[in-house]
Amino acid sequence: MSFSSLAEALEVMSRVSRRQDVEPGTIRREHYTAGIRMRLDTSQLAEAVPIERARFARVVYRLGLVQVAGDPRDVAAMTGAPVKAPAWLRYVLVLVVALAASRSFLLATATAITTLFAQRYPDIARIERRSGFRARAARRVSAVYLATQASLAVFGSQLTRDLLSCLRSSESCLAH
Amino acid sequence: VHAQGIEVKSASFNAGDDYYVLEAQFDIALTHTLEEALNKGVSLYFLLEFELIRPRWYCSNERVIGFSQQHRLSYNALTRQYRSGDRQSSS
Repeated sequence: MSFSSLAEALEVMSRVSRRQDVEPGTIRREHYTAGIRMRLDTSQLAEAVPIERARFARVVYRLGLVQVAGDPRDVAAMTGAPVKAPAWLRYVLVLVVALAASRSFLLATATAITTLFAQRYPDIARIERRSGFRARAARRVSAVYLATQASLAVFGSQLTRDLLSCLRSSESCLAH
Repeated sequence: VHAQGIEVKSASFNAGDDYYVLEAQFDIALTHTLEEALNKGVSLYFLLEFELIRPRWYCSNERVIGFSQQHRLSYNALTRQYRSGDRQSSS
């Protein structure tokens, strides 16, 4: 299509209307997550405009997945919203952090009182083993889940990547 | 045009038994540099991407629908016309 002005061309490009046939039963009465975005394809952008390549590459993360609640057959509108980790995962992460913090605090307190620490060392060691195992298990479950999400997500959440790298670094720190 | 980025103004998705209809409106703003590059003959490629995912707690999410569509925007100095065309791929 040809246009006499850039505004006209952009106006037409900015409107998307698409009807597509799919196999019957592909979209069922379930909850879905939908994402749509348009971005400048920086891989095709000429080297002549390197600054623009970097700038538009960042814009990609501005548009994330959007939650489509309710009946997918009658979804009226989608609004842009940042990707959020599922609620249960956030609770698990908060729990892991809280356990780790309380463990560190208790150990620090206990080691400060050397007599009591010596008396109670077997108990502390037992609790440490149990809570350490649970925390490691929770961290690994979270890491596996996040890694799966990160590998699947076309639009990839920055939060997912941050959490994943955070978990991986905490794993390697604890391993040493 | 001095603003930058592409924002979603509105989007809707409706599905029947064997079809779906996707409609969306974007706000495309080119920087001055990009506009200048375009007017000097550099083609700009825009990528429209859509996906519909079925979240599954017991397994990795299922990608039900996904496609990407490339739009090419160029300027012909001889005819003083802007041209746009698209190419698409689905999965």
